[in-house]
Amino acid sequence: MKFKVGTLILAFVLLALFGCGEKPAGSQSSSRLLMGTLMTITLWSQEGETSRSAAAMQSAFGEMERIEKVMSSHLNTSAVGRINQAPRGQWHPLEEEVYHVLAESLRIAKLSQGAFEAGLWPLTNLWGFSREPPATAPPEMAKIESWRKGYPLGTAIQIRGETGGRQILLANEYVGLDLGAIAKGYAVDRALDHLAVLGFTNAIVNAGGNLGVNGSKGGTPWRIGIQHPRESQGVVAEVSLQKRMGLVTSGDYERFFMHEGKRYHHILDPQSGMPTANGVVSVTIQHPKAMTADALSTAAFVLGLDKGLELIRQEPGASALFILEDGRQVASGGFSYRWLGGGQ
Amino acid sequence: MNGWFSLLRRAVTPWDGGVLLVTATGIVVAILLPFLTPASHATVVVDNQPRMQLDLRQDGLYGVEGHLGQVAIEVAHQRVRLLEYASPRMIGTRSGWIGANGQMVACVPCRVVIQVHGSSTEEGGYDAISR
Repeated sequence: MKFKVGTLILAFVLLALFGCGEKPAGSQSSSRLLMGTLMTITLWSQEGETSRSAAAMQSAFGEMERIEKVMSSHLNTSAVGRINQAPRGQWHPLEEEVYHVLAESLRIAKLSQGAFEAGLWPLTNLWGFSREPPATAPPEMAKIESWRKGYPLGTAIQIRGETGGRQILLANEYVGLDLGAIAKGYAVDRALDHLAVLGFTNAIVNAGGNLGVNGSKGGTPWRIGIQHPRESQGVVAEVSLQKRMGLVTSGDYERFFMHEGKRYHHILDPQSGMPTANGVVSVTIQHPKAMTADALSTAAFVLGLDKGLELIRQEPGASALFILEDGRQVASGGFSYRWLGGGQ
Repeated sequence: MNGWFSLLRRAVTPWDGGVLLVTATGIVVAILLPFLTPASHATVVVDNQPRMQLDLRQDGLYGVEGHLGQVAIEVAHQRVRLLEYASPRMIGTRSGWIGANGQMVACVPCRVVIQVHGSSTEEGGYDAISR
């Protein structure tokens, strides 16, 4: 057996490099059930950062859990839950963080002329999409009509005051705070900020399909699929992102029931109190803030294609992809994507 | 070019060649193994706490106590899926079978998640799906 020493040294060095070293750079994921959905954080971490990135993900989950405890309408102990239990027509103290999210809600409500409303909790309860087990038939139309007449569009929620002394007023019993169409986006933004402070600027935070993306995976853009609206395992389009961006989809397929051959979904039109029916089956919004993308996706869905595109044109930094019932897709300027069509 | 081969032949003994071949093969296998091997097990998580490990090589029906009662889980042909609880919110049921490394299904109201172990990439090679 004649070896040259150099060969043995080379073999040893190669094995040491590939077999015994720290985990190489790559993506790591962790998931938790929070805010009524599955939250997943994916980090691109450098070699040797494995344990630090696991701790960072846990810390970011902790931040989202904290936000859930403040903003959930389902929890009577949350700041939002307490407001919903307080008497109507009176001013009540409001936490700074809820004020911040509500201010953005009211801005989008005004911009969309009431297509987005943060006061629909009584209507959502009436429809029972968040109930367990969920509703399987629509509520009595008389109850919807009563709600529609009672809900004061445009003045349902008022907020005021300076930092440290914020207040809120809910107009009447037909109004209740429901931040379900914006709080997940806010939580995604906060989690990305949190990760960045901890040194992880290449990340995806996925709150049940509401995404916030930062950086890239080692210089390569993150590859994001957009859910096919009618094939649960299909992807209809692909987006590549490598900068801070929120990407949120609202569709009629996430929470729905079929009743007498008709689909009743959870995106309710504040004007009618009924599930929106305007030929749009999903809207995906890109916006630097996931919170704004979250609210805009609901507003654009409710407005429909033409008015929805007009809304997106009014919001700097926003772009949208609409998918229609007849299978067509329409994108606003600035929305870069690759259309895949059928299930992928 | 011939000069280089001749130099290499003189510098490396047959045993050297064998050592280098074995080393190189080992490195290639180590790099590719996670991508080629089907996932062998999955973790069932309830309330964000690991509750059960499933061997995907053993077909069978399993049960776990979720928030809304028993949730049935089926393992077959190195894949796993959630059964029962016919709710439109049960993402897991609509997701069907999963078996690739990193794939996940969840029944949110039941607070049950199943994760197949491996890399983090979502189905279809995407880093995330917006839905």
